[in-house]
Amino acid sequence: MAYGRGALRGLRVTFRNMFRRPITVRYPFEKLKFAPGFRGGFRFDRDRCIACSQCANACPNNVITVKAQRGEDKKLHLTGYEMDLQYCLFCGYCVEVCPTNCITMTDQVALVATDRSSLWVEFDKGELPDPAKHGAHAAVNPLRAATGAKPQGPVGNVQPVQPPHAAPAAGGQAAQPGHREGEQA
Amino acid sequence: MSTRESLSLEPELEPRLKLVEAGSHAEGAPRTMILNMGPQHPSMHGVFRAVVELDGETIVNVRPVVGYLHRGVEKLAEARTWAQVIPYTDRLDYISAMNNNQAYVMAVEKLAGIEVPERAELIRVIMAELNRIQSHLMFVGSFGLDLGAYTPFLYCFREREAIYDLFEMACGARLTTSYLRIGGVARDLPEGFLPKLKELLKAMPDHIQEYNNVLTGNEIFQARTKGVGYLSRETALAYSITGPMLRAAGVNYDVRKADPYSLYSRFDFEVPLGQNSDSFDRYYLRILEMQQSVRIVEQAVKALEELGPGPIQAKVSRLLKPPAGEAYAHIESPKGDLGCYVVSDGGTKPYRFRWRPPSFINLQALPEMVRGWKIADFIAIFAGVDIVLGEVDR
Repeated sequence: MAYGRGALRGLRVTFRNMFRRPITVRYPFEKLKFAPGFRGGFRFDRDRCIACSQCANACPNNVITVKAQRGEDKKLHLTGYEMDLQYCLFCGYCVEVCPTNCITMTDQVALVATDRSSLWVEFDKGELPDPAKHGAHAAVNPLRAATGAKPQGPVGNVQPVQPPHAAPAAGGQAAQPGHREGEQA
Repeated sequence: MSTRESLSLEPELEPRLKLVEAGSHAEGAPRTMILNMGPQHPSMHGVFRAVVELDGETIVNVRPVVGYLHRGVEKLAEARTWAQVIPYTDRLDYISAMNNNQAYVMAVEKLAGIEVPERAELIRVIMAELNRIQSHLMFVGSFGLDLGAYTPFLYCFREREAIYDLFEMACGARLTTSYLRIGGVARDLPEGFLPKLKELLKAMPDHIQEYNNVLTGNEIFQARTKGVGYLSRETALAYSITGPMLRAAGVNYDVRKADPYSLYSRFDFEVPLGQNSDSFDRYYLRILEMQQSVRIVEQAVKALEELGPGPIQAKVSRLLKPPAGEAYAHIESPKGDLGCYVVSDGGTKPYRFRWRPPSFINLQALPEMVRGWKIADFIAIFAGVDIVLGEVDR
């Protein structure tokens, strides 16, 4: 008799827990809110950026490329802001050093892609496309929409660019929507 | 049965394999066979491979094969600035990122002679101890899982989730926290953090009692772990084993007591010791350590409230240039004595960054522990070492 006592005590715990309310939610139908300050995807406000490149210098993995030109008023003007998110560690150093808070982090977590080139994104203004707004294809691969693989309706404000290791861009403006056209997700 | 290809790494086993292939009835054939476990075995914690030599079901010898998760972090650090190394330390022992952060920043602070504000130190202690509880919860859960007890795993992960929620509140990430900075911490504790933490601390003793009821007191669990995987005190010391494995052998060595760092000398806590140096002791010691960690966090929270608001960052130049020299700092991580050695040549980047991972060294004693036990016990012994491959392979 004495032998099964420990097992019975364990079963009593299990039995008690059967009547507790579940602590999980039915993801993806219900979603918990992230804490403020969560380090997820990125939001970029082009108007506030002063092209100081501090974010690019703070980044441990050279994810960020800041393209800037000196205007006639001798001030730096932003011409392009690119991120190669495949190397991003989501450490938040870029956000921490930004003096104007133009780059911030959002609670977007579905940043999964099936090919590396789609993780190279150029920010115009705003955040990465929201997968919930762009149908099933984009939900699987939200950044795919950014490369313009398939017309998916509005794709947010993210401009697609040619990855640097691909064919050298002809002009300064690297936006070439559809350069991955025809490729299957 | 292993293939010839996978055994090419084991030169001394090769001749025996040939004899085994020739047939066990051949003249001079050994009675042993070689079984390859991993690197994708369900009970292997991460990508770890063990080449087990068996005589029937009894283990004659085992060769741990590591390196599948090698990323060259020590070399990568040489191409990063001092501050940029912190996110990489998260990914070494990814179960206890806070402790890794702490070992690294302590070494750099020692090198650069940076004084950390008291409030930041208290926050560091809270985070380090929460991480210890979290890591031990992971151990207790997965240890039960390896022995076929599924239920405690879910209970452990419930509390682990609560701790991860706290981490998320404080630093914005759950696993790869990158919370500590050279000279302080990244952010101050947010509003609502301490009440939530106190709630957890209050509930923790009940939860630990629950694990004891479900797992510790279970006769089947005890039969499978008690007396299994004995490691003598002398062998443990000879292998430089640290952490709960060493303390299970009865050696009173805890860096928090032996070489107090941060504010640990201020807190009242005990170092639990084992007697039998078996798998059960290694398991139960971690349960006791969780209780002690709860005590430390309670005291640290009290001290933090008495201290009130204050600076959380020392004045550190953004592009830190520590004077040329070297520094070594070690802490008690959940797995053992975690050391970080940094060398500076006066530049903005580490000249050398060296990591002393406790689980890599603890793993070396695995053959000593499993020899003579049955293959089924191998899992119970191996799980008791509590390794994290991110740290072993670096």
